[in-house]
Amino acid sequence: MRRDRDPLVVGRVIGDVLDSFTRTTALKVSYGSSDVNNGVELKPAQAVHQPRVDIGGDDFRTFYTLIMVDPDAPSPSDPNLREYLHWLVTDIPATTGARFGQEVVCYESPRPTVGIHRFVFVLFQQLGRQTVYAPGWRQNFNTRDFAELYNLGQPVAAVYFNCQRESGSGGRRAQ
Amino acid sequence: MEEVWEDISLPPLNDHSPATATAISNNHPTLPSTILQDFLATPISNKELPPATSPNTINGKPLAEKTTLFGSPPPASAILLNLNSGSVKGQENNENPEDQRHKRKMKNRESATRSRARKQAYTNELELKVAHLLEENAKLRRQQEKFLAAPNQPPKRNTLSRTLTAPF
Repeated sequence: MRRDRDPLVVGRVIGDVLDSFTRTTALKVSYGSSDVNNGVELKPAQAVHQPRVDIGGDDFRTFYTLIMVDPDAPSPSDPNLREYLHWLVTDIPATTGARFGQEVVCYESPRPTVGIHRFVFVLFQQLGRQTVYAPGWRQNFNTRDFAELYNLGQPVAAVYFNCQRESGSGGRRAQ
Repeated sequence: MEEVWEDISLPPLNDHSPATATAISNNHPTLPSTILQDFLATPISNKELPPATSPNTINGKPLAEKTTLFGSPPPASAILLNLNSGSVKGQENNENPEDQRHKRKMKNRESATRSRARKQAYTNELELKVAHLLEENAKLRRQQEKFLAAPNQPPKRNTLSRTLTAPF
């Protein structure tokens, strides 16, 4: 797919959170009956509970790490808390799902107050089973640095959705 | 170590520039090495400027205590303090309406760019999905045709073909 057409590039996920990478593993995220495709908009009410995450790969002995971050915290026009870590699960065996992994940082529901935020899921392949330490706080997390710290290499999959507060007007001023 | 800091000119703090600057460089205790990023990441409880005191007190204990509290090189805290004082919303001391209008325009432009990007990204995703699904559909239809055109019945096993072979 042409680089400039890739939704992850157009949506600036590649740029703000990740570097360009090659997708090699399936990543399917769904909140109830809503599948997360790049750029869909979900309401906070739909994302209260952790989504179902199914991953690909082919060998049970390969393990993956899943990260969920908000690069637009607290507001997309002034994201001084970028990135806000919502979820961190490690040691997910290939072909299974997040519920089979180790939840290092528990799932926190998106609750954007200002603006329309992107919520990004990133999947990394681990070199082996590894001990990952939770960061001291959720804000100002850096996915790139985290990947480097734990030798995760480049992502193998990523997907994101948009979310604004329940009574949001899509950024439009009330008429 | 002190000599290095002496030559560096620090951004002036609001009320007392030269006195504090030299005081900091002279009175600089050995601090644990912290990189700037770590310092910026930790929540800083006290971001207020040091109280306006005479140079004598600055040379003494209070400043030393303050620097140990922050746990980082003083010049970093000086720079940080300066940044904060300039950007509080509502203060029009440094900005006139012209600047504000310009800022608003820039913010609006960025917001519009994000909005367009959002729309375009979703459209691209849908187009990709459609293309993918059409391909899958075509593939499945072809497979279906193959199975219907030449009925590939599985070879019958465990069945008797000839039933009348006995002589009696």
